[in-house]
Amino acid sequence: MCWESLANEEEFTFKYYTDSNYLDLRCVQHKNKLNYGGMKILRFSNFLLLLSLAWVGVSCSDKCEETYHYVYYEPIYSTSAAIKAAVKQEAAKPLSQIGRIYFKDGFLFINEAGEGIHIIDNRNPAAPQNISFLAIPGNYDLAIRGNTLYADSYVDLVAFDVTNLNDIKEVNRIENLFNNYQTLGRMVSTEQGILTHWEKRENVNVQQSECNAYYQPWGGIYYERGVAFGGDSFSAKATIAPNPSATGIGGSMARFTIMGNHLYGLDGANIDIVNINTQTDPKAVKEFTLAWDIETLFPHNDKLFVGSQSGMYILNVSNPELPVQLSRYSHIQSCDPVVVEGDYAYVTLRSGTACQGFTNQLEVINISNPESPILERTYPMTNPHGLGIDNGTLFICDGNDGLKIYDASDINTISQNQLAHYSTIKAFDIIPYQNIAMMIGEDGLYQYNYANLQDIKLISTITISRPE
Amino acid sequence: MRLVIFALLISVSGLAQSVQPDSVGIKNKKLKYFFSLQTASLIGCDDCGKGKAITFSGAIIQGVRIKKFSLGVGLGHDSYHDWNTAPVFLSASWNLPFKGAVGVSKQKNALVLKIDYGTSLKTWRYYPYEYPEYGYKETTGGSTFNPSLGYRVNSDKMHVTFGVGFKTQTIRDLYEFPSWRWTGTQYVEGDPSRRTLKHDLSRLMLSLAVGWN
Repeated sequence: MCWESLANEEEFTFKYYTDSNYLDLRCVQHKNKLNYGGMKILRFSNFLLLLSLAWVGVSCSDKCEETYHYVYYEPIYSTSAAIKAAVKQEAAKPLSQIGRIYFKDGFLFINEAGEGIHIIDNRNPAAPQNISFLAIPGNYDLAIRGNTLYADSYVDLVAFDVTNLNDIKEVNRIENLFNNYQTLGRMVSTEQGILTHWEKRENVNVQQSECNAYYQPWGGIYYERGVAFGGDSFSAKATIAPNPSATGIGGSMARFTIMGNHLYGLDGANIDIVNINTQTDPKAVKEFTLAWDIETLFPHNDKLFVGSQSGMYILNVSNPELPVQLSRYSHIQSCDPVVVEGDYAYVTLRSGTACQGFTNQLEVINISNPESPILERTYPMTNPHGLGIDNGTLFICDGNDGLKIYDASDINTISQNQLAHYSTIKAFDIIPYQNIAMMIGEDGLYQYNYANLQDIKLISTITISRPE
Repeated sequence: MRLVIFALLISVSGLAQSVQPDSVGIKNKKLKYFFSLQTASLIGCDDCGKGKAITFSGAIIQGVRIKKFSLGVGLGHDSYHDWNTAPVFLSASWNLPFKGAVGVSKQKNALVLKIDYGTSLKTWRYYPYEYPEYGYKETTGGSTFNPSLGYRVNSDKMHVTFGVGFKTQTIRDLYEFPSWRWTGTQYVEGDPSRRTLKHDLSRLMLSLAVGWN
């Protein structure tokens, strides 16, 4: 080995030695050279090894970094003058985020949540025409008596002359009528004005953390509009026979209702009573405190049925300005619009986000003695929202399970007498009137002709335009 | 699919440990194809207060060797206390000739400096409870880096390498927490809040690799 290696050596440093001595010496030198090289490598590798071990010894534990990306909504205030100035009639625009519906004299009034009211000429239900939009900032509800439309605008109640639907004019306003429209304490600021909406803000926070840190998440509830926790939305329908000279018909989302010469509006835990004897000059009468969780109003004869998340109240309003509570029918916590026909009240209970509870059903309550309502029957549902009844035909908007129509002439066999089921729509609320069922759903307005209960037909739709 | 990969890796790891040579190499004067199987223990901790965790790692690497340098690609399976990853990586190594080693002086044994770098092709989380963790959405894997120093014992057709190294792996757990907003008529689901927990895992790695030249 050594000899072979020597044959390739080019440098000779010991010339004067004998060949044999020279060769022996070179051999030793070569071996030494190899060993020396190996030691260098060993030292270097040992150094690397020790360095690596030292490195891993101190750094084989994990590091963690948490990034939180959350959204919050910042309150935006407007002055009362700016809000009033924004009230105006505009050209028709597509339905987008529809709220409550109201029908009067062949016209549909569909609330665009927080924005105003779409006016639909529905004299031919098979071909409804979107004719104009009444911009009312902070509007969520409405009711009409005669030629006067009453609508909320944040904390105000505004009266409009709708004699000419192409030239709607504000005729009066009760300022600061609704003092509970915001229950999170940000209702009205003396310095800043009225809370009108919330603007989305995003925030990102990055921090080092313990890898085993337990994180307690809270999704929270965010508010897109100025109105928060006003109670959930789905409320009553008025099944009173419409009189062209009197009031219209509200959907079961209505929190306003008109009985005689008085308008009742939910306002937090209160019912605001407004005298509209002179239609263009509404007068606030009083606030009647009932319960924190009230959410729907339904008039029937001289009784006012108030749905709440924990039950149904029956008020005697034979003296319109002095309601008297007759009874309270309790049920489990849930959202519960209510309608009444004859001796029965029909209540749907639904679970969900704000409704709490785990019950989704229809309850039929005997109210022949309004001081002692009795539960007669319950029927399971999927996720019922609004409902309506017309001459024994019961319409239930069952959320994602669509629209269900029943013959309710026998309250004991309602589920066996289903007349129709439109399961492909997400149904919210409905007004059945004169054989036309006007229903709003997630995708828009649907109208059905139920003149022949054995052959109920969809006759028209107006679809919703979703914002980008 | 991942079960298949896992089973494959387990089986080839077993092969590696049994050290049964099977020549798959294509010899060339300058360029040599190689194939190696590697098993390793990953030593480290998520929560060091609870002690170290020792978990399994396995990989197959194929590539070419040019003199003292090797370059290859690898696919593996790494397990950690809470996760599993399937890393795909580039592997570069440099042989430091070392003929002075005891008992193997006729072979070109070497110290091997090796660096792997890649990313996790697939990452999945181990969660021991039947019910899902609130808000948990998904786990994604990130880059992996693995420098190591080994001692390679060569024979004619195969080599065995004992190594010590350091391995890092980035893993992200994403959580989303739903929020609801009141629009005036109803509650609708709003933008969720998000939490991303990025773990930079660091492990001491003790490895055994069997390769064929």
